[in-house]
Amino acid sequence: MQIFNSGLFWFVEGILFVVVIMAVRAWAADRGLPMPVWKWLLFLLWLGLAGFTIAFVGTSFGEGESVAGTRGGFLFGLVTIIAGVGIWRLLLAGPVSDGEDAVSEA
Amino acid sequence: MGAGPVRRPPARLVRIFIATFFLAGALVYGRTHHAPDLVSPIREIFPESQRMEVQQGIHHVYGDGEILLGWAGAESAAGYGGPMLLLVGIDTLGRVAGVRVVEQRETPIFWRMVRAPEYSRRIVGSPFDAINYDYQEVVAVTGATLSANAIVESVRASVTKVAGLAFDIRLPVPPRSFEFGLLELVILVLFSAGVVGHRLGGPIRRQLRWAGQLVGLLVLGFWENSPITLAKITAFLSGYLPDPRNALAIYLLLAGFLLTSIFFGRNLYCLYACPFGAAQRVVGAIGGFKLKVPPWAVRLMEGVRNVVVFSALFLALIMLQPALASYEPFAALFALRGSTVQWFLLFIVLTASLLIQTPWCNFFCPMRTFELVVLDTKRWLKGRGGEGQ
Amino acid sequence: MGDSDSRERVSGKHGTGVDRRDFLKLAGLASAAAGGAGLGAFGYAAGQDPNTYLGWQNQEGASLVFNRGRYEVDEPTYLKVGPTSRPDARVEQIFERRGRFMREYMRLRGGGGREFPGMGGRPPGQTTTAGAPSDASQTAPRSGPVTPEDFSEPLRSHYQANPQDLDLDILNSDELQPLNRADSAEYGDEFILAEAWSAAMGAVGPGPISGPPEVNDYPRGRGGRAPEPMKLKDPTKTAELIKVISLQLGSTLVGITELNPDWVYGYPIRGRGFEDLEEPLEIPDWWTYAIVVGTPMSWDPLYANPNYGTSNDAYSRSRIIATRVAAFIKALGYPARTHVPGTSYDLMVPPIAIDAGLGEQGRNGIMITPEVGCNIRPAVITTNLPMATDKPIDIGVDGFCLHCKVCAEQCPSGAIPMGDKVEVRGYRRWKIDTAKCQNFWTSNLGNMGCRICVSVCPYTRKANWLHKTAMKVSANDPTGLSEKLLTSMQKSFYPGPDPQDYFMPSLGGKNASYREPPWWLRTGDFIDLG
Repeated sequence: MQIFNSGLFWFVEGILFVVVIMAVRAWAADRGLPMPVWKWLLFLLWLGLAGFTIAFVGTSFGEGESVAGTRGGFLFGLVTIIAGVGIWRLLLAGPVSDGEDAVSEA
Repeated sequence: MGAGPVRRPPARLVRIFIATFFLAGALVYGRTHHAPDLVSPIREIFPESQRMEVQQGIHHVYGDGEILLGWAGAESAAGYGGPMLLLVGIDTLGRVAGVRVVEQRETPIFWRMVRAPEYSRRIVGSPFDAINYDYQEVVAVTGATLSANAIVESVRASVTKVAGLAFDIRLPVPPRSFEFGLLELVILVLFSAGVVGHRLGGPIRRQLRWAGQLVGLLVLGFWENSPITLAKITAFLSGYLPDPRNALAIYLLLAGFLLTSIFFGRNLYCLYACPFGAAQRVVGAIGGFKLKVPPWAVRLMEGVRNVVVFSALFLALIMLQPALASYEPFAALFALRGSTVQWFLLFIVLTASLLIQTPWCNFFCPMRTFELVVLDTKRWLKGRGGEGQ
Repeated sequence: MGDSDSRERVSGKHGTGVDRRDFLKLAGLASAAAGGAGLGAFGYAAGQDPNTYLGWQNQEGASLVFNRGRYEVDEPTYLKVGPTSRPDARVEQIFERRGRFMREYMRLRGGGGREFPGMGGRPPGQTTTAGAPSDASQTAPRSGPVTPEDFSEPLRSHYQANPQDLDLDILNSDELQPLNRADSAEYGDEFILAEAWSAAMGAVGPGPISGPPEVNDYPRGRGGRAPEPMKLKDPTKTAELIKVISLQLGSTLVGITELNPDWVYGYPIRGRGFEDLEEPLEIPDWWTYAIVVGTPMSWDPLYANPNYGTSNDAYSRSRIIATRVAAFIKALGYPARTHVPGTSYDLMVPPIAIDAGLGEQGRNGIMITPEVGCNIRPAVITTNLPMATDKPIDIGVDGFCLHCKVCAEQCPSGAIPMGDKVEVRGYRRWKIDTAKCQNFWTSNLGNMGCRICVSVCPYTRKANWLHKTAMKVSANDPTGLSEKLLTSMQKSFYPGPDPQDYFMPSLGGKNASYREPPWWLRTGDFIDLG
């Protein structure tokens, strides 16, 4: 478990995070969705929430508090899912830009 | 809603009759087979006791050589989950010799919030006319007021009875006024909004309903956590009515539920006041999906729900433990309190609310079962009334 | 994206505004610089990381993960509300009172003078007590109810003013102790390893007190003459020195404060070198400063309280540290005196630790620190070595305890108040009922003591990201909303057993512990109990 104390772990996490962001960009471009700052902010907040939920469950089971892991997992998982669906719908909002046309043109 | 004459009860009604019959049987069994054991707590309070004699509902306790040691009385008071029975021993000098909790049916979580042992320790030795009945001293955490009050009132009732019979002293019972607060006010407003909305119909009804539910979600939900629960209904069914002076809200809610069901054919509690229904609708609005559940699945789920409600009621009545009946995950959402199963239910139900409309109300909630029972019974009675004319 | 990139490349310099490729180059350069700087910073942090001092992490201050600076306040969060006075340890300190009670009560009952169970032995030969009242000095054993008038002063006045304390003291002696012996014989095997571990931890006793302050506190140089105190350059630097020395000697936390005389006992207690215990304790003028050191109890056993954990582990380490710090100060030519757990004090430690900025008082009566919650066993060194002092802190404990009440709900003895703070000797503070508290912790099985209120406190959590974040959120939230949310989550997510289950079987309990013991304290896995 030494890896989790090392900088390497967080380095890899960072790479993964960047890849996720790039993927979302590509996805939005493919769909022709405009991605203003507020959408990115919402998405990052949700990513933080989802990350927190997973880390909470892991930490709780790690320190032997399985009840906290289960109940907290249900609570935060529920919030994450509901917020995720809400944010998903918000991401889809807004006028469809020419991005889609540009892709189809190419 | 045909009110035409009905000659013979429909199948659903037959099932209601059978269910009622079995529940009544369970209640009779529960109430007869749970006679509290008073002898051992009396022995604990009066270790030298040799013989006891019951006269007019109080125990006269005798020791060696027929010396009167004191008296013991046990009168119950209604707590959150049902009756609370405390036994109070009074010695011949009129002092409290000991207090024992004979019976309590609170949910463990509420019971832990009150300090019955500490209270009883504190009043031991007090003369019977100088006992401190401040229930605030018994409450550990806000939320357990009803349980704490029941402890104090049970002691008061027991002491008053012993004082009257053994010492021929009528202890004054201080008048207690109704506690009418924000919660009660909001309940009245919500039902009024429901009546107005129901009469007017149209977009106003829609808006009133949303407004009412949001207020209900905040006040009956997150603020007070006081929706109708199966436990509260079971307490009523088993005859253990809580003191209306400090549990006015539940009387108002149940009265509203019954009256609107009878007079409007649809209970306005579920439509306008229930905080959990509101929570599902809010989640549903976020989700935006409106998946249709196939009719056969609806019928199946409703059947399952009715069986679950019946079993919960039956068990709770036969064991005389109203608090056992509650399977609702309300407290998990509104007070972050609940068993792991209730947390799981909450997770499932609210996640499902994203996809289908108010799954709890349709497939899980005991209130829907009760509503159907009321409506069916009303229709049948009305039909019979028409026939008789 | 690949398509659009290729289009950019084809269009080359004809793009509008900043050239795309130039931008990319610049960005690459910036990333390289940032990445390089990051790596450098990482390397620096890795080189400095106290966790790399294997075996000496804490001594290097690795445990000081909390930056107190932001939370410093001028006045501690307990309030001074009236005229103050010093505690009469003879009756207000539970060990001292019960010691006195037992000696007189055994004589009243004609018993053999059984010692009261408590922590730390009583030094033999130290039996100075007030003369027993005349009626009790007759050898005939008394029967019938014992009244406050049966006791000598100061017990008599105390019991007259607090009759419930007499009941609780008698309850312990007459009922709880016999029950405890019977239950120990029947159910005690489960705790053999825990008790062995506690015995090991307690094997090194408190440092010796060699006499009254004027004898004990002063350093002895060559030929028995007190050496000249060293001239110290700067009190701030001296404070830094004392702190790093305390950490090097193994302390987890260290703070310095001026000694408030209100915290010093009005009368000395047994075993502290004072000749006459009925003579008021005059505070020597060299008790100017108090250095507070302390160590936490081992975490896994702590959560398995009241029976598997032990106070001895942190007691022992804290008193060794305090004794060493005192020796260090004496070697600089200054007087120093230790006040160490379990029972070797001339003063109350928690308020001094609070003054020194280590934490705030919690509902459970003890100090709650930001680093280890309540899991700290402090010791104090009094000295006149000139040092800069620390400020008290406000991390929001005061507000949190107001409505949390987890400790009060879980306390099996009912010693922790559900209600509000009260005024004690001029200070508004939480006050626990030490007699009820001790009645439980001397009656339960396993290791003596209880520590449930330490284990269940939301602040007493491991120092991981989750709990430290929660603590900082509540410390910085002025609305109090997060406290309510965190309290609710604490109660739902970290439930404990029914408090009644903590009791031993003959008192209707199940010998429950808050959490399961660690694998190395499970007796049945190692010892054949037959």
